[in-house]
Amino acid sequence: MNAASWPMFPTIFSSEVRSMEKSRREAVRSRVDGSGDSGASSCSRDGSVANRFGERTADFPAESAEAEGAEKGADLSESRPATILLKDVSVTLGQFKALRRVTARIPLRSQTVVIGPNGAGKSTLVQTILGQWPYEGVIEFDPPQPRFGYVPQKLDFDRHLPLTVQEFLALALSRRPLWLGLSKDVKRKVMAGLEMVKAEDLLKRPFGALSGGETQRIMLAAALMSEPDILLLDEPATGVDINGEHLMCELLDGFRRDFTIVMVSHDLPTAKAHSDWVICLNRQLVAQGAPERIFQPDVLAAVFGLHQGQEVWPTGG
Amino acid sequence: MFWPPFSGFIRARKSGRLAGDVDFLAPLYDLASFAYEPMFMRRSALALALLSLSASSAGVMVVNRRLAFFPDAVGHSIFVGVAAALMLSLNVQATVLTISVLIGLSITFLARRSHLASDTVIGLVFSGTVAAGLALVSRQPQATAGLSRFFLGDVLTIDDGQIVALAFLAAISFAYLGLATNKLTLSCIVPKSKRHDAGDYIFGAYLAIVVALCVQAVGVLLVTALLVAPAATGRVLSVSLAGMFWTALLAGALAGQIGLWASFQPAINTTAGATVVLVNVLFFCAAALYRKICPAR
Repeated sequence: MNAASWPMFPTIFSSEVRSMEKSRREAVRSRVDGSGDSGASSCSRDGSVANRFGERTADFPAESAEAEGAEKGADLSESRPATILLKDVSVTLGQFKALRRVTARIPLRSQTVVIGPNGAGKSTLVQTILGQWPYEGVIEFDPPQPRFGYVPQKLDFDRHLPLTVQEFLALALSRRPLWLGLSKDVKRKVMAGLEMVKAEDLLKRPFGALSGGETQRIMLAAALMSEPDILLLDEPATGVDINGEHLMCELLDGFRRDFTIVMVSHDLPTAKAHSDWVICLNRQLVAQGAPERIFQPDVLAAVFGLHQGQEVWPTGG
Repeated sequence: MFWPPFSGFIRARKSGRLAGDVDFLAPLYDLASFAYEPMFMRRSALALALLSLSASSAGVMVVNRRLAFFPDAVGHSIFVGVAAALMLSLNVQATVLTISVLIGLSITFLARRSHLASDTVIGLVFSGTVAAGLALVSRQPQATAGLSRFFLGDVLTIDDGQIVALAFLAAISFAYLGLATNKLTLSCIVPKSKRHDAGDYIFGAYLAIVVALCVQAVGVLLVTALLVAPAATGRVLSVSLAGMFWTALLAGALAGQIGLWASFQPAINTTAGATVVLVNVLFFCAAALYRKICPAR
């Protein structure tokens, strides 16, 4: 954890961040072009990458998307360089082929939502990106070794573990063992992390005794405190009530454009509301593109079945 | 006999090549003389103090990582070590330590690599090593005599060399835990990849060494309690990891001294190792009862 870069956090909620979007995008471009790395340069070819794999997937022409993006002026996901580029990625878990030749791109600083039915390999995809499973194929990152923040779907741990929220958040921050106490610096950082997710009151609570929504928020705080380039969230709404879900969505909206967010979801309204790039997965890639294009009855019908597509999104024209 | 490097060192000093006894232990023995007159009791008190520090601190990780049967499996592998050493006329101590570490590493490997839960793996390795030990002993009946020492342990016959070794163990234990506590605790909570992680193997080897040395004092049958009971007491009494760690250390150290003192009283007059473990378990019962009567918060 780089202490010097910590003060970036208070700016996260400020509106300044969004107004700076334009200049940042330029900065990002120059960073990618200037890096000279082979992986980065292939990523920086913008829409052409999506095009190249167009035949295999139900991807959409990048040119038209770019035109549309320019029209809207806000959403340029399809023209943005990719931060993660998956090429023919297959994952086999035991005898089970969880992912079959998935080729997809996740644009830089996008809010990407991975949707698909149960057992479609959404979580496996995220875990593969994190490097938790061996895979065939190629995954390219830009920057080449991004820092990941990961909020898992469900934490399966010993709920009676004596560990306070403060201690849990300090685990990754502090080199000093917990039993020698926490330094003032670490305490301050933990507090700042809790403030980011509006959970200051949980500081001294036992971590194992938190509710599902509280645990999710703490995990989000832990992920954010690692100052990630890419934040991966696996079903952040699982086991959380409506209020908790709204809070989570609000929090995530606050971070839009600060870093890449990849969110697994099978809740279509949430996915539609919180994304500017969508990847439809069912063991293989079904479609990827901007949400306006993915959330169409014909695409949804292909992923979830006809009924779902027509019920949730009647043709809007 | 049991600590060749250190015993050799002490013998060398005694024989005049190096003058004097293990000097730096003398002040500690003087301190222990407030409680005990006989030298072997002073040594035992010192040894138990050092041992309980290592065992309790390691126990915190054992309990939190749900490895309570790991010490049992490694402890029983001592039979294989002793039998093999006697058959091949190797150095007993070195063989025992090596085999313990190997068993510790193989449990870690199997638990990570196979699709079995760690309790299944530990059960398998446990039975396997006991069987191997019995098989070796059945070929070499004279090895039985060497084994009985490890069954029950003997804290009263510890020599200066062993105490120096235990001091080293305590120092290494704290240094290691100082570096690794946070990572080990984090991996209890956040799911980790199935890829090999050097940290897990280092922990397996470390735990095996602690267990191998604890077995000498309290024996195979009781070694688990020496690690697990203080940590369980700490866990019952505290909500934070720091609290659990220090409570466990305190409980372990106190139980060690009280147990030794009690076993020495003519009215009680029991085996030291067993008494220490018994006091440890009583501490846990008292802690659990206390928690039952006044729940946290």
